[in-house]
Amino acid sequence: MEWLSDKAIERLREAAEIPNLAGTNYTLLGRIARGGMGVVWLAEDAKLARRVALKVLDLEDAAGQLEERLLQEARILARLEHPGIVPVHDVGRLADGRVFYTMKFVEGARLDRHVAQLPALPDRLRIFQRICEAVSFAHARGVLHRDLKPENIMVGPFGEVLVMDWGVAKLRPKMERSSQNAESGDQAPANESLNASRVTSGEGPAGASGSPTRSGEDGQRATSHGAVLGTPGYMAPEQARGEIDALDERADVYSLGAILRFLVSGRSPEDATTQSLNAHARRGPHPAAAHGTERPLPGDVPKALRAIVAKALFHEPGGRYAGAAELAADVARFLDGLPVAAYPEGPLQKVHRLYLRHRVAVWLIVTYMVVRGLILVFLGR
Amino acid sequence: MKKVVLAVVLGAVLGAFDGLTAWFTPAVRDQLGQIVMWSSLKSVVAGFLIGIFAIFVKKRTAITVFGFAVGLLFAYLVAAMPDPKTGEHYYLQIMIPGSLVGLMVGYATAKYGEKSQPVTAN
Repeated sequence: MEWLSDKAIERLREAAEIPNLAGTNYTLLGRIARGGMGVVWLAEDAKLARRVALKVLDLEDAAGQLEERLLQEARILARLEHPGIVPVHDVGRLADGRVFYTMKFVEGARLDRHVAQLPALPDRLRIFQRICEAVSFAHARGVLHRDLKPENIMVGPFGEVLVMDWGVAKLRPKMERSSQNAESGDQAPANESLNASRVTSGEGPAGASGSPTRSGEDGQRATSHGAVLGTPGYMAPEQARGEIDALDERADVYSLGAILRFLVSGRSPEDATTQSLNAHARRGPHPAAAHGTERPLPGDVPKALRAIVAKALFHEPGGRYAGAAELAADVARFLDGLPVAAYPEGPLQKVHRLYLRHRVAVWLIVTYMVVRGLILVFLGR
Repeated sequence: MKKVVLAVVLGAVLGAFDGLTAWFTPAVRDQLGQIVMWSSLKSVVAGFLIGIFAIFVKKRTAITVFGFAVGLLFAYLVAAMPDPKTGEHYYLQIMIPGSLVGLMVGYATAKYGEKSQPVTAN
């Protein structure tokens, strides 16, 4: 009996997951990436003659939960029309019955790779501001991203910044009630594998951790308390503890703080599994320790910026910025050389900041005084 | 218009200050009023020209250099007038500080005369 090689198995697996786009407007061009519950393909829209990214499920979904989650993701993206959020183009069903949606194909680099091309701190901070603008827009529309991280931010060839992967995004409850199509709760798919993008606390189906599932308004199964969705290192402590109902904009603010820390320091949070994260969350008031935030920022980072990072990464939501807009505004003030809300200045620090902001003018005045003094001394007038 | 007003006001203030430094020279202390007046006037006119220039030219370096040149020119015109008592000319003593005042007015007009940028966060 001959065994198939690993390479052959891999090729068979790839061939099996290729979606059949017959009956759609799309022609498959290649594979882009694998996500938590599906694969993203590059396709050509025959009608509009443009390339699109096509996302389709590739996991077993007998109960239809994954399909509903994919549709929810598409609906959320359709609700968020903003230059910083990847737009959705179309939703459909393949010949084999699987649901797919298409979105803008973004050429460029992920932020975690693009940052190497940005040595200057102000350039990184300006990109961060654009991320905050997009997230703030989403919050204003009642949507929490819940999985913000550099890998989910794309920077295009013309400097455009797009927030991607809204797969675990959640509509706030009052927005769900007003929406006729959206379901009320979020769902943890059964048998979802542990990976960097989609992390669950349980070893089995949702609710296996011991907490019962509960029904949402539409009778859909909602995520039980204790299930964790997000990425270790970037998710807020309350999110790591599985406090789904307690999540609000400040959970995304925490993730933005982790992204800011990454941009400022150039280092990712320490690798952390969900188990170690939950252990830290249960243990003490600083589950952020599991995120690697105990590592200090580089010494040349200005104190005001450190304070901004610290406030965004505060372990209690009440101590953080109220929203992404407030965080972005403080970063903007820092870039303009103005006092920031996160850092109460003493008199000396204020003088130092003013000197830095008006350095040239100060030195011109000093030069004038010195020259005037020399003229008076040596030329007598 | 903001740039012109700023440059004129700065010129007046810095020009007056520059003139007042003549107090440290006892020989010309009795002419202090005249010195301050001429110093302020030349700096106001220089500031007006710098402000007009800054409306059409956006580059900070260009405006600063223009300010230096205009300050130097007007300081020369003042220095070309001889001391009424001694008949001497004080070119270096007037032109060097005068050009520095022009440079400062030019730089300040370019930097602080710009409209403030709105905060991008919404």
